[in-house]
Amino acid sequence: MFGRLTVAVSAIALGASIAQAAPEGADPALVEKGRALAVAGDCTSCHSNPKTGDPFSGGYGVASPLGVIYGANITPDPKTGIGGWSLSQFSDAVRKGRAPDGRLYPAMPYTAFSGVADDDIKAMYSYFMLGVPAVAHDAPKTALAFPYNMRWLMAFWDVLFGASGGKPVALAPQSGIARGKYLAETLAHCSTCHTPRGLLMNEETGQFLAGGKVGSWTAPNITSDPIAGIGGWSEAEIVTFLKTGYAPGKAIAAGEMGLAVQNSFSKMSEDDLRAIAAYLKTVPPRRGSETTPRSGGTRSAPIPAAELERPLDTRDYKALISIAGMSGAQIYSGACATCHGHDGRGTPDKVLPSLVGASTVGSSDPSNLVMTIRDGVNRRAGHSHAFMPAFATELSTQQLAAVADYVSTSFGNPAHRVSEQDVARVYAAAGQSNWLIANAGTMIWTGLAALAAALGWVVARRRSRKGA
Amino acid sequence: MSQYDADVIVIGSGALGANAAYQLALAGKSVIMLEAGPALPRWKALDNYHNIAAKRNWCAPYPNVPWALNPYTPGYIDAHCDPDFQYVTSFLRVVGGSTRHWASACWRLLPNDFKLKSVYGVGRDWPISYDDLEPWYVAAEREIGVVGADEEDQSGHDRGPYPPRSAPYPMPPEAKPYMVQRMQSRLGPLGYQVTHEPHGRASRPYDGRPACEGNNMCEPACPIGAMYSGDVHVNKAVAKGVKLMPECVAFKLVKGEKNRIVEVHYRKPDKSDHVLKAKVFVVAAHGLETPKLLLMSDVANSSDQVGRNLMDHTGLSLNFLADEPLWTGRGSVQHACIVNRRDEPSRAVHSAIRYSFRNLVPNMDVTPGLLAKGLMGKALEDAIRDQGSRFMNISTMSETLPEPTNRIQPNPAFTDSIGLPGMRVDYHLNAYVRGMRNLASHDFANFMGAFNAEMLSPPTGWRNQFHIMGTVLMGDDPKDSVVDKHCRTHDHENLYLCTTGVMPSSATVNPTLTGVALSIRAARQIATEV
Repeated sequence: MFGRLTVAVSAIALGASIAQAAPEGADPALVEKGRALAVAGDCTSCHSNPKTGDPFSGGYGVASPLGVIYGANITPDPKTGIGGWSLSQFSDAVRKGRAPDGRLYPAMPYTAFSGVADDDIKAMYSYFMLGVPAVAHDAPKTALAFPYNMRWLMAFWDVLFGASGGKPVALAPQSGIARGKYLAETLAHCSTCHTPRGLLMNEETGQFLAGGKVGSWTAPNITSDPIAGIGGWSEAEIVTFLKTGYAPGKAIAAGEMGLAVQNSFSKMSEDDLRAIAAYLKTVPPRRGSETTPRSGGTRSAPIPAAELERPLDTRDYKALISIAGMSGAQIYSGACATCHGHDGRGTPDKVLPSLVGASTVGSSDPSNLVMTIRDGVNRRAGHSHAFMPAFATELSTQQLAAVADYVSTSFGNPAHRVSEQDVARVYAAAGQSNWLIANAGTMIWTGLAALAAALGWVVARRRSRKGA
Repeated sequence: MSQYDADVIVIGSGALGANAAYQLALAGKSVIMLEAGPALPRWKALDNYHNIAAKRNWCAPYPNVPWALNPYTPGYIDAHCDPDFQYVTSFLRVVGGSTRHWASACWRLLPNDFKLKSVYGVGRDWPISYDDLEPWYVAAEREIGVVGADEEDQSGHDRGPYPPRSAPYPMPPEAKPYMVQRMQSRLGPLGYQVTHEPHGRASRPYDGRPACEGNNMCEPACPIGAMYSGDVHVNKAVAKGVKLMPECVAFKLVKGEKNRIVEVHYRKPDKSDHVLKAKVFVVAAHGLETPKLLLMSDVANSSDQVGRNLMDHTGLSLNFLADEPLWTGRGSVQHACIVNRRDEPSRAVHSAIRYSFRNLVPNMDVTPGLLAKGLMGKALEDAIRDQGSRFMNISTMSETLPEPTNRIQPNPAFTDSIGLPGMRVDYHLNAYVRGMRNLASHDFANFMGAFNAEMLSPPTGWRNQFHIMGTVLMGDDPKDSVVDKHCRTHDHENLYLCTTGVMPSSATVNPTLTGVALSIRAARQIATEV
């Protein structure tokens, strides 16, 4: 009965909204504006179809601490996409995490998108309905474990944490720091990764942009603090980094940030990037435990000659096989130095990047260094394609630790040692969530059992009173 | 418990064996891959190369283990040749195989290369045509990641794109080095077609590999993994569940009921023997080790052709100094060659020829001569700079024919550390190969004339190109060939051979792409049977 009712209601909604979804006389300028905003929102990174490469037909799996969350088909296909949605339904999904068929998980950064201006929502709606070709593709459904499979629970979460991007305004700011703040806080959703999360996976608002975790990767502190954040960067450097993924002597984008550069920042206008850079310089500093800036260092301790000059006799086949006991410097010489140089400075034309000064190398947190070596770099920006191969199959954990230690201490900070345990910790972080998230299921069952016991006790007492 | 250790056992982990294993794993088959040699990460091969003295011996950075010796080991190959020619070859016995030290030329054969007997009255025809293999060339080019020029006639007849392709190359050509531009502008007017050489060095990031950055040391190991090598598919196969067993030397295949192969026996470095059983066996142990294993096991040889018909691209090589700097050594070690002579009527009389330009930094080629002249100090340095900039090496890739008397056999007079035999090779150059010398000399003279060149060393010595073919050749007739058109042995329905040894014609091009195409095709055939 209930099922039939749902179907009937959906059919009515579908019929009604199809009429709304195809407005006459589409405004090309509005569609184009919406396209640029969808780029700024990096919709494709999660909503692409990994099988076909199609940008919006869904299926990309986001590895969240709750489990894999699949990006939906957001092309205007009426059956498998969002073609049936009205403007207000679209607006609710983007800004409130409420889709017509149920609540979204905050892998969709609606907490940040809550502040997207009305005029921008309208432009994005025009783009997705009129500028994106409809693709019929049933994206896999997200199936999280109990209790997260109960999407209605998100309603409570949303009340507490659902609007970090602020309340929407009617018209989006168009220039200056206000524009940068608007973009950074809403569409660019910087805080989704760069703000640490609390017990309930909520962004800790008091620590805005002070650094967070994305699986094994670290999204570093990007507040204006000169040591813990990016206060030491010029605005031009921030713009270069966002545009290309590589600010020489400062940072190299890999992992999720590589994707954000590839799919979003590299395609945004210079004006918007400058606005974001100007705004980031004003974000209140948050100091961490670091005592030296992670980027901008100048240390370059080339491989000691004694490590390199080890004549090998080809008749000694064991020496040609044996890799046990090889130092990090020696592994670096074979695996890394061809591109990054024995001095770590890459090539003068900057096509092969310098490790010296790079935040990944200079950080006291080895996460991104370890992950970059293990998974490599694969980032397109404009016509360039930065690519470093993954060393996952070429290096054991012990060897990876040795080479990471060598890179960290020779081209970063001698105090920043990297051990095999550190590497294991970084890997383990991929599947890690905090205690509350991991144990919510157990807690809820325990809670229900306790509740039942309590109710039973109350009922039993009443009965016994009546009886008395 | 199953009576089999795996559906398929592949003996050899080179590009051909690893591609076969990978395809079988993709089809859901359980696969064990045996490898005689050890595993070695790329960075360790690089480290070895940095630290050994032998910089022009492409085998040297790879461990020459006493239980799986390489061909540079004195006595391992007992060669019987001609007074003016010594058989030398080069292969690696490590995980990933000989493509660990190749330069990755990835040519397709021409349609006429498959019907040499019918068209030119010499050699043999294949049991398949170019069209039969074409889709598998496409598959192999995608697996390897081949870079090539779609618009060129690779046969040098100026007839538009040739041979015919059903799909473009996976990647476009790299930038044209200055040397190639000079060769084109000075040899082109004489009618020589200097064409791009298709190869396996990624020109953009491809399948986990970075783009080539021109380190100019493809051999003995691409330092950044831009160039394809067999370990790529070893890793892909292992990720799909293939069980890789290094340091396990297969030495005997055992026949059972209905002449099926039932067991492979392998020996470990500690001399212990072990047995594995499977439904199908694939020997992918290179063009010399494969027939050696078959002959040691007395299998697949009812035709008496196993080990016979050994072919290479045995040819001549010329070093000269041009009248202008050519700057070889920029980019990768090969970029271009001359293809006019790949398929001419003279093929009925003597070898077809492809001229290959070497693009190595030539300091080591010019310096000994300058030292011998007594040059020292600044004069030596200046002379090295001058001659190094103008140096050019051109060699012929000459077609050889399948001759039953050119053969490889196990040589029990030599034994390795685990008691397994070495090999005896008989290889003589016949009139067909020697007959191309006049044409080659004519062309060499033209090349030198075009560059007003000074000859450094004359093209007199014959040398191999280490392309081993013919030793287990393919044919329709079980009486005079070893495998059928699917690379299945005529004698044993569950024994397949994935090696360039199955090729019944050598043509003038590096055989690995053809071998990988045949291996993928054989693996898909096997997958339908187990």
